[in-house]
Amino acid sequence: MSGLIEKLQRSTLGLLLLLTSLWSSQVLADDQVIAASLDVAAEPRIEAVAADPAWYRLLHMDADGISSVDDRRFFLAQSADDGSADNDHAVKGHTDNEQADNDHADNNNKDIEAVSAAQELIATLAAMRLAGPVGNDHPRCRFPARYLWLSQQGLLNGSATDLAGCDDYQSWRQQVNASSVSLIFPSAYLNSPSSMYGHTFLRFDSADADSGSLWLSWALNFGANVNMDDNTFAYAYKGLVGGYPGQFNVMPYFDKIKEYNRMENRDMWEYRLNLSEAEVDQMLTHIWELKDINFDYYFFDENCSYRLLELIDLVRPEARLTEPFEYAAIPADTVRAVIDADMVTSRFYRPSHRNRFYQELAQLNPQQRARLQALSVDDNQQAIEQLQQLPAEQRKATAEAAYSLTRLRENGQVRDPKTSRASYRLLKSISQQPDLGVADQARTLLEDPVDGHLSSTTGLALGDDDRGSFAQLHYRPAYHDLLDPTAGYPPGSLLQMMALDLRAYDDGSAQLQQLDLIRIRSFSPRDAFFQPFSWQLAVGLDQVQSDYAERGDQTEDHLAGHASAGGGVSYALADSLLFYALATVRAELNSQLDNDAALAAGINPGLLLSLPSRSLQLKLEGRHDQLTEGFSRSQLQLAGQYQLSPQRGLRLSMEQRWLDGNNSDQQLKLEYRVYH
Amino acid sequence: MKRVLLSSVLLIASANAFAEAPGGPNCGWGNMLFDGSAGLPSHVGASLTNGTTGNASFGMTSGTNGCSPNGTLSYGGQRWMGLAGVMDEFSGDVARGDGEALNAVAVMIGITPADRDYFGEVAHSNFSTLFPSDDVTAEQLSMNLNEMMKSDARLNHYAS
Repeated sequence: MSGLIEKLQRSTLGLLLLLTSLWSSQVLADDQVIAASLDVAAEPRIEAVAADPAWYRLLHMDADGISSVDDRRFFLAQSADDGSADNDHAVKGHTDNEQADNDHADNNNKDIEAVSAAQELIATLAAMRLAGPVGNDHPRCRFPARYLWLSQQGLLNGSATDLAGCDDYQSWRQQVNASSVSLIFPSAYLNSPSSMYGHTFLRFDSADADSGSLWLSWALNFGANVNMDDNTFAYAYKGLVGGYPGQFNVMPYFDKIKEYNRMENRDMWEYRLNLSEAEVDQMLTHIWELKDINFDYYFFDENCSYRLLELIDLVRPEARLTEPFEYAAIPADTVRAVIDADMVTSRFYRPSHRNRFYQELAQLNPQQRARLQALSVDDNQQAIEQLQQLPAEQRKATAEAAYSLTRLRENGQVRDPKTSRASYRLLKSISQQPDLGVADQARTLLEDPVDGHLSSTTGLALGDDDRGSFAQLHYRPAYHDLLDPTAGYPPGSLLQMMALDLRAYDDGSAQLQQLDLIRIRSFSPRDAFFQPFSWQLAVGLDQVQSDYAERGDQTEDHLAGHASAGGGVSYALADSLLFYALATVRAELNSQLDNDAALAAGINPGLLLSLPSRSLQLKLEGRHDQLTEGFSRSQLQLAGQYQLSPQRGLRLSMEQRWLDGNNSDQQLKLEYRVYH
Repeated sequence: MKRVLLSSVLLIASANAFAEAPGGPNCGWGNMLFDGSAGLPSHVGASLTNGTTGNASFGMTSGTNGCSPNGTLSYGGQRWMGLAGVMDEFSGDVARGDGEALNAVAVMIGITPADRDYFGEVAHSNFSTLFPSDDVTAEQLSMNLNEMMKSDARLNHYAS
């Protein structure tokens, strides 16, 4: 009962505080402020400071003065009416702010008119000099980085000690008590559109993080703040085209470990940066200014990775990290840029739960493996008792692998009492097994994604088919296909966007050979423990043969638009040999067909041999499509790539095509490709 | 600026008004061992956009799992709330005898670096006492940890 009263009292106090602050800010919005801003505008150094790149960075403005912040609350100045230098009205009342808070995902913020760097400088100075007692609501407490930077420029005479009265800011800084920063890169995740290229965020570590635990560090994440009421399609669509505002969030690092390593089974790589304590301090001071602030969010350019580079540029401007990424920021490329700037002092690999299980599995002999299934079912009591039949030094590792398997299978499920009891029995068994000093399983370090081939590629090919000899140009801005060197990329995966092939024949004709708007293939091998689904999809243009037999035409290729998808299975026949087979469907727009369009159903099996130690990938693949127009297309391809150096490869492919089962065309092609 | 004031004051007010009792519907303190991970940060929307779904805390109230940081739990103080978030990982580490979650809990409790390995050993040999069943809650676990430390000469002074 007394607790309830206390709560009520606190709420009342909150309401009172709220009313008081509303009142005081209205007082502030008075003539005083306008007069002060007039004075400020007349000061000599204003123009120079307003044009300082550091001021632009604090406002997240590009060289043209356009800020990527999409939130009135971030600007103390009233928006410009006509962009003139009429600074008299730079600061007015803040009544327009009323709308700013309630349009979380409706995106009404788009009509924010640009505030210039100069206007914001004047408004900031006026507000910081004038506002009353220093508390959470004071502009200094809301924008401490601006306050300290303007003081350094001599426009304010303040120091960090003046921020002592900012209670919220101070308690936040005390909580996020960091002395070093790491860049964290959870690897690619093809099953989620926004994570196909991986993701990056920052981690803030306290001075004793190494001796204590990185689990207690804080993660700073930039991502879209989504509307829970939207359906899945709206999520996907808005997430890609920028329908949600982006926000920074701070959360315990162990929540991120659980999210990536456990929930999504993604490996994580950690790169410790060589930022000084002063630089970390400066970064955190600015991050506080971004609390709850909405940014534009776009998938390719203004994404999580770009925002992090901005933060690093803020404290290390000479690194100029953002410059190469104005149009697209692929996470792995941004990590490479940070490494190239000599900012990474150490790396750490944190395997996904699935990879950890397979590491444990690799340590087991066949007798141990044979027990895993019985140990990991709900009714595992007997199997646990029978562990005693194994030599003592093998029991613990066996029980551990069985436990990992159980938890992996339960991933993403609601709690099941029977499975929980089975897991508990295994844990108890692990705790009771003698630890006979068997060497701790070495963490098989997967290839660091940043050490893989670079994201874009250009290739030049010479070839020959039944029509004649040809030269072909290939350009792919991103990202990886099945024949590219596998190091650092998810095995059995392909992800291409805007991949283009142009071909010129020796008869002088030229054609668009292929354009992939998007093409994804994700082959996850099935085994005794897990039976994942393999799938693929593609949307784009390609050259296809159509059946002209009835008309007596030649079987010439024509450009067709298509959307294709497939699903099936894959198996690892050996360590480096993958077999896959998918059932496919294809919708085709093709002016050469009677109805200008057709549907096709087909099969698509293949073998993929990958020998990284020999710098070699080989692929044998077949395709057969039956079209609704009443004819079929088949194709058999043997292709291989030999790596001349990490960023240069030689690719040879041989292809045979059939139309309605009749041998129609052969092609041989040799390509030289460079990754850049 | 007024908007900033408004939201920050509301944040403070609401944090107090809606704080949950331990074990309450929104308070993770009552988590059981192996609580399902369905629906945790796995919401499809969050996953699609690398984002969050509301309740962004900016690190201000985290570690309390939605519980009042000033709840009635007297043993060990508020940072113990973090235990609820790492129950599964902690139980695995205790069973094996080492790991990052075990170390993290030791730090949360305030065990000094010199005593952390020892704390891990004691916890490991007391697995069945700390985790008497698969239905153990974070709250019971924290009491069991406290009892364990109380009855150990070297860890005694960390107990409350």
